[in-house]
Amino acid sequence: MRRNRTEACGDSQTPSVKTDRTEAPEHLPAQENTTEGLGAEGVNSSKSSKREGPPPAPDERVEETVPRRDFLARAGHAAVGLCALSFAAGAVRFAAPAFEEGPPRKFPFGRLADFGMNTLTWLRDRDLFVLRSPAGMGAFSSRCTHLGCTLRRTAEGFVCPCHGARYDALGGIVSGPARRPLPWYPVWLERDGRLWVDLGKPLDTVGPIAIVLPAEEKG
Amino acid sequence: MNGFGSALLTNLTSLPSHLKRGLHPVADPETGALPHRMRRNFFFHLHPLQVAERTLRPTVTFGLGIMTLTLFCVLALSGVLLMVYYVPTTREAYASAQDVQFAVTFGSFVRALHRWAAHAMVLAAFLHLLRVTFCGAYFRRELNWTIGLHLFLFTLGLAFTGYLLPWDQRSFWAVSVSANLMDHIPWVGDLLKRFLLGGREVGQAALVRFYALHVAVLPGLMLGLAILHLWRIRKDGGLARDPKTLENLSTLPAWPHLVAREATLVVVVLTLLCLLSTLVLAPLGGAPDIHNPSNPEKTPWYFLWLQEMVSYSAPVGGFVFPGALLFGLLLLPFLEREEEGVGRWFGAPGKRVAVGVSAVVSLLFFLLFEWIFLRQGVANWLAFKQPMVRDLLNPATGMLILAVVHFVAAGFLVRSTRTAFLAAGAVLLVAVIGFSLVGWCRGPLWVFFWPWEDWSLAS
Repeated sequence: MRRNRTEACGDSQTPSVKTDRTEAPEHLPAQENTTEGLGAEGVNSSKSSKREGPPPAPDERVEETVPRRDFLARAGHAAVGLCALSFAAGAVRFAAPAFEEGPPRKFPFGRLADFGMNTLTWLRDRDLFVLRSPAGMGAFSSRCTHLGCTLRRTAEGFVCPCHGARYDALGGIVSGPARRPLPWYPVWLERDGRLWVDLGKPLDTVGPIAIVLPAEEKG
Repeated sequence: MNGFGSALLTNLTSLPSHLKRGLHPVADPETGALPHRMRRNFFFHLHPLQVAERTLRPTVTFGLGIMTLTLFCVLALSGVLLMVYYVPTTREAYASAQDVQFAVTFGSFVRALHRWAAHAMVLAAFLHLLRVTFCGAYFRRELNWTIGLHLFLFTLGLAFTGYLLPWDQRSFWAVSVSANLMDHIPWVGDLLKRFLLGGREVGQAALVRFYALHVAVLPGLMLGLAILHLWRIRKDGGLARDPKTLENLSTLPAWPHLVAREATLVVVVLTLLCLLSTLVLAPLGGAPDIHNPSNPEKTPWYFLWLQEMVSYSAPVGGFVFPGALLFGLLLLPFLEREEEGVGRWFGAPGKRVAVGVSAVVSLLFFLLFEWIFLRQGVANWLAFKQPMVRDLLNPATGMLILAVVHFVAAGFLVRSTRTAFLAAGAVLLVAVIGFSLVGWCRGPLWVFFWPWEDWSLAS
């Protein structure tokens, strides 16, 4: 009985019947179909007024356009939806990689004596080509800029086995689907005689650069 | 005490009848009649009581949906068996695949079963999509079409994630190349790739992510959507057919006509699959060399068309063309709402010619494009042009423009949205099959070889 009363109240809450509400507190048509009440809402205000429940709290007696039950249903759906959304956002954030795998981007790769003059060495585990020439030393990527396959050396330069992109001896594009030349990375000599490279800072220039000895050893 | 014991004993002896009552249908208390056969079994509820006679003909559907469902079940079962031995770490994955292949009893059979069922499922789902498209069976079934399209994408996703798991040379590089395709998706590509791989390269993080997607996320989504898909067919009134045609009105009881056909199909699929898996083992390449791809390195066959298009232009082949295709498919049932010829191959009889013309014309154009762009001189000339020029001048862009031209032309000439979509669909289908075949012919360094030419001589 109590439940029925609140339902009827929620169903037929329209602005036009607000004033009648206090007059019929105990008059409850429990046998009446609630959907009928929904349909008649606003059309037959006198009928609705008889089905009113107890007076609402004073602060609720404002002009409403959305029936209370609809409002509660919508609020409920919105709350569930919001929870689901925030859970989904949390799941996405959880799955976002929190740390980088693999070897560090800045590392030593050998000494000057390891690399012969005018030779190209493939640092297999680092996916790098190292070139030593009279101009200096340089390191550039051994992976195709198209889709990341490891390049093969040819007489003219490099070719990608995956989609046939061709590069010249300094990594410039000759033909094929690649759009960027092979990136070159800064190479420098540390005081202990080891050569270092930083893959995190690709150079804007192409070709070997002069290797500057550290200041202390010069003097 | 005696009463207690005999009560237990009586209850125990009636156990079979209790179970039976749960499993078997309850007769009507007044008439004593059993419910209709199709209502006695839970699994028969998927079927209607009567089915249209026309939709029972093999050439209307080729049973592709049931075939896909059967293969999914085979994959689920064999997949669970493979999980018993598989270890998703870069150090042990390949060794565990070797164990299954060479040491475990029935191991090579289960592996082969899983492999061939996966390939067959991609093919069956693709043909099912073609059937529904070219029969116009999406008519007033917008929701089920959308669900079906997602099921197809999940099938591709399952095939793709499963491809990496053996962690051999082939799978590693095929997935590396495919993952790098995402670099060419504007704005979100890099983020998406890092999400999928858990880093910048295919490594341990990627393997675990692919494993989770392959054994839990995608099959779970797939199972739920597949149930919805089947349920919607019944809610939408069975398989699509034009209700105005008189012959479509004659129906037959689903038992035994439909059920017997389905059972036959399932048995045939299972038999062929077992035969194939016994005769041909699933390949297992060498241990992966993550610094050196094979030459040539090819994606799985269902992505070869993408790889071939990408070899001309990565943004067009990897993003624009497949994006346009997917977008068109998603919008199809919302933009195309002609009732005439629903459930008939290539639409109403008078309008079929346009689709055939589109197919032939697009085939000729495809051959012309390939003849031009397979020339080394053209490739060298293009190499020094701006990237924009290379994106514009390639066979994939050509076929895409051709599809738009056919869409507009067929639409205005035949005055039918159905024909317009089917004409564009024919062009894109020719492109997808054509690019797959050309990709299949590629040899070392992605050079074109005819099937009868020997690669080894060239390299």
